[in-house]
Order: sequence, then C-alpha cells, then structure tokens
Amino acid sequence: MSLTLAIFMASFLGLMLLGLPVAWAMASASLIWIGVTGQWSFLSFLPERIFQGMNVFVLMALPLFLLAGELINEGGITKRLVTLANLAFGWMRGGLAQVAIGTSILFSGITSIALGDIAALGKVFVPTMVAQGYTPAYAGAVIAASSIIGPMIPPSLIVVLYGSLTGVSIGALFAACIMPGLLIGLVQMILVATQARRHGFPRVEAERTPAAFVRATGGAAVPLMIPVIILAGILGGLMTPTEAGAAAAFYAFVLATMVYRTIAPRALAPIFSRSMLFSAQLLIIVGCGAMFSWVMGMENVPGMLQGAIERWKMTPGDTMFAFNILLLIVGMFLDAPAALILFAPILSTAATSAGIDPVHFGAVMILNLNIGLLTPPVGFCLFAAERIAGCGMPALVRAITPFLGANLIALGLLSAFPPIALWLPRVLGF
Amino acid sequence: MRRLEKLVDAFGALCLGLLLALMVAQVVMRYFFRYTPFFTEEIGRYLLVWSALAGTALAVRQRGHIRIDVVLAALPEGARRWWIAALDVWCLLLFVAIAVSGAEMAWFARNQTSQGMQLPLVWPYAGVPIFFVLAALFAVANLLPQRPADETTPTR
Repeated sequence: MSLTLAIFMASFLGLMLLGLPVAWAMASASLIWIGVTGQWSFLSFLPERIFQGMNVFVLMALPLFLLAGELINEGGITKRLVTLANLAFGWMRGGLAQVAIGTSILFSGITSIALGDIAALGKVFVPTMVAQGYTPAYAGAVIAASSIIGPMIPPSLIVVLYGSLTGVSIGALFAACIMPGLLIGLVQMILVATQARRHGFPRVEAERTPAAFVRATGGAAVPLMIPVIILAGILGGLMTPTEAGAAAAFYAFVLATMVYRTIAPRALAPIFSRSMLFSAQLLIIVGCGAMFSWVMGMENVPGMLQGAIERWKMTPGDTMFAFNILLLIVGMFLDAPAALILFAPILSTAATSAGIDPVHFGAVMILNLNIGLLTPPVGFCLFAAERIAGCGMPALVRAITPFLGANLIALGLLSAFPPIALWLPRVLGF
Repeated sequence: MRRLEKLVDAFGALCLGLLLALMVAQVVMRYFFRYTPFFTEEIGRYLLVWSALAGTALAVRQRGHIRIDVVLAALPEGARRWWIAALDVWCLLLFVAIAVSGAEMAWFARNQTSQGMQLPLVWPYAGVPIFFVLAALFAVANLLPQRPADETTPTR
C-alpha cells in the first residue's frame, strides 16, 4: 500500500468515526488525497464526479420507489395486509409473532427500505404483541428482524443502488433477491415456532373460512399491485426500473388521492419532500462515492485486491467466505447503502474474477449488509425498533440475537448454494 | 433563514414531482403513441440531480446526513457541542471548496453542449455551486445559536 493511499484511507475512516457525515468524509478524504499527491488539477474532478455520479438514469428509481411506498402507506393499507397475514399465519403457535413476520413479507412488496417496514408495522404490532403477553424486547426484535425482508423483495432501493454501481442487471438482481427474502422469512418463522413452544405463546383466534380468505385477499390485492407492477414491468421487459418506479408511484398517487381519498391535496407536498430528502441523503453519498471510487481507481485498489486473490490462490468458496466476513464487520458500523457504495464496485469485480456469478454475489452482498442493519453498535433498524418498543438497547440486543443467528444461517445457505439466488433469474431468462 | 429552507424544500419536492410526471409521460407516449421523446431521459436525470442537491443542502440544515455517531454519543454534553461546531466548520470549508471548484467547472463548460439535447451544460452544472453555496449558508446557520433543540435529532 502506498503512503498516499494509507493517508487517504486513514483520513476517510478517521473523519467518519469522528462523526463527519459519510458523504463529507468521502469528499474530504478525496480533497486530502489531492493535496497530499499535489495534483491540484484534479480539484475540478470533485464537483464533476459528484454531478456525474448522481446523473444516472436508473438512480431515478430511488426517489420514485420511496414515493410509491410513502403514498400507499399514507393511504392506510397496513390494516389490509395484517388481515390477510392473520388468516394465513395466525393459526400457528406464537401466532401474532408469525403474523408480524408474514405481514413483513407482504409489506416488503410495498416498502423499499427496512426502516419503512419498522415505522409502519412496529406501531401496529408492538402494542398488540405486548398486550398478548410478549415482552416489549421480543416484540421489537421480531419487528426489527423481519424488517430486513423489505429491502430484499422488490421494490428495493438497495438493489437499484447495487445494479447502478456495478452494472449488474437490476432485473436479474430483483429476481435473485426474492427467494433469499422468502428464505429469511421462513427461517425466522421456524425460530418463532420453536420459541413459541418453549414459552407458550398463544395462537391468534380468527374465523378461517374460505370466504374470509377471499375477502382478505381481495382487500390486500389493491396495495399488492405495487410489486406486481414493478415485477411485471421490469421482469417482463416492458419498462426500465425507473419507469416501473414511476408507474408504481403514479398508481399509488391515483389510489391515495382519487380512489381512497385518504390523502388531501395539501398533504401531498410533505410526502414528496420526505421522499426527496431521504433519497438525497443516499444520492449525495453516491455522488461523493463516485469521487472516492475514482481515487481508489487511481491508487489501483481493485487491482491490488484481485492480485491478493490470485496470490493466495483463493477458490470461489474462500473468496465468498472472506468477503462475507469483511462485509459483516463493515455492516456493524456502516449503514447498508453507504457500505454498498464503498464496497460494491470493488468487491463485485473481485468476486467475478474469482469465479463467482455476479448476480449471486450481488444477492449475497445485499443480504449480508441488510443483516448489518440489525447488529450493534450501529444498526439503524435496531435503533428504530428500540424507539418503538422502548425496552432499552441491551434487552433488545439479547432478544434479537437468536434472530441474528437465524439470519446468518440464511446467509450461509445463500452463499453456499447459488441456485437459491440464481434459479429464479435463470427461469425468467436472465 | 426559515424562508430559504422552505424555498429549497419546495424546489426539491417540485423537481421530484416533475420527474414523476415526466417518467409517466414517457411510458404513456411509448405505449400509446409509439413515440419515445428524446429529451425526457436527459431532463429527468437533471431533475434528479437538482432535487438531490436541494435535499443535500436542506439535510445540512436539519443535520439529517447519514453519519456514525458512536463517538458523538459518547462525549459529554459540553464537549459534544464544541465537537459538533468543529465538524460544522470543517463542513463549511468543504462546501466552499466544492462550490468554488463547481463554479469553475460550470464556467469551463460554458461552450459545451449536452449530447442529447444540445443544451448548454452550464445550466445543469450550475446546480453544484448554487446548492453548495446554500449548504454553506446552512452550515453557518447551524453554527449560530438559534435552534439548539434539534441538534441531536437526525431524521433517520
């Protein structure tokens, strides 16, 4: 490692750990690198890279996906999904916890970020679960753990981000993440079932007649058109991800303002401005990350990584294992999108040259970093769930540990068996 | 300052609204009129960048940018105040640097036109200096002792 690269990395990590926002730490480190190498003519690259990094067609899908989720959520559709999940999963032992996970799976077709999942479902499930005798910490853990299904199943911000950063087909990635998303739901449901047997969690009483099922499915079908529009649009080759995002947002817009009339025209402005603000916080990291990646390219970091893989004669399995460990550690400290912007371009290239399928690696990396949302010391989903459950961090961390274990099993299965990710894209012809 | 924030907020939200309308129009045109306008994609990209830049500036004011606050949270109250102020000064310098070099970039591009629409590139590029000047202003506003209540409440 050259001295300039060492200074570059150290200043980035240092500034970020000291509390400078990630985007500004990237930009500052790049400026420091320019100063240290004395190549001041590169100074104009900083605004240029920030601009061009964000000036990307597929990135338009980001605010549009967010907008679709915000609009439909404001339309009060959560209740319809809960009703359906109640009928489908409530008969099991630990019924309400199962219903929470099941609703998360349904809701994942609407929200594109894990935090959206927690905000919408936490308020519904935590109080009802506590009323049924679950501890607040356990309720918080179930909500937090199942929230990471959201960003696995389309629409998903992080998938769009990964595709735009690495050039891997977004349609293929969407298809590849569906099965892993359902796998997480499955392992968590198995875990809850075993815990319920031990603790004697109750079932949910409900009238489970075919007629009730039809009614609940009909009620849930309207909001669940969102993932259908997006999946059919992208996977059917009808629309680009951006256009599919626009179509979904437009559908939600019409539904909320004209059909259900749950959103007054005056309430629209804050919804647009929330989506704008949230996506801006990600996009500026993408922009500054473009500068950051450019410096890493100048320092030949991707080449060094590839050299190391060849020198140590790492098999695809070794590489997958090593990258997983690296990403789990990174995920403990960094938000998933930020970690993705930093590492996806480099690791994806290295993994591909080590013989791993780029779509498979994409699914693994996305799942891995999503699990990082649940790990202390920095886990955004953990913070959000604690705020709703109000049980204190230590209790929540204790309660979520078995769920982390279950998620890691899912990650291990996905890493070891590529067909879990690749089967669906192959069937769909990617 | 409040009014400026509102203005930036409205501008960013408006860009997003236009982006949505433009993309819906693009799909409708393609499937119902068998015509894909050549300009929607390019305008859309510029709208995205401008709305992102507006949101970036605004997030400076609201301290909403994604950061690792483990160290910040560990500091005692008084030290944290000073620490945040020091970070604000650092950000201010950074924003000024980006604004100045961004203005240069826009100025150098004054004779270039974009590939699709032959639009002078200076217009889309101008967003970088404009919004980083605003970001710098907001950073200054954060340094002034006005709204101490919202210092540690990030939006996410």
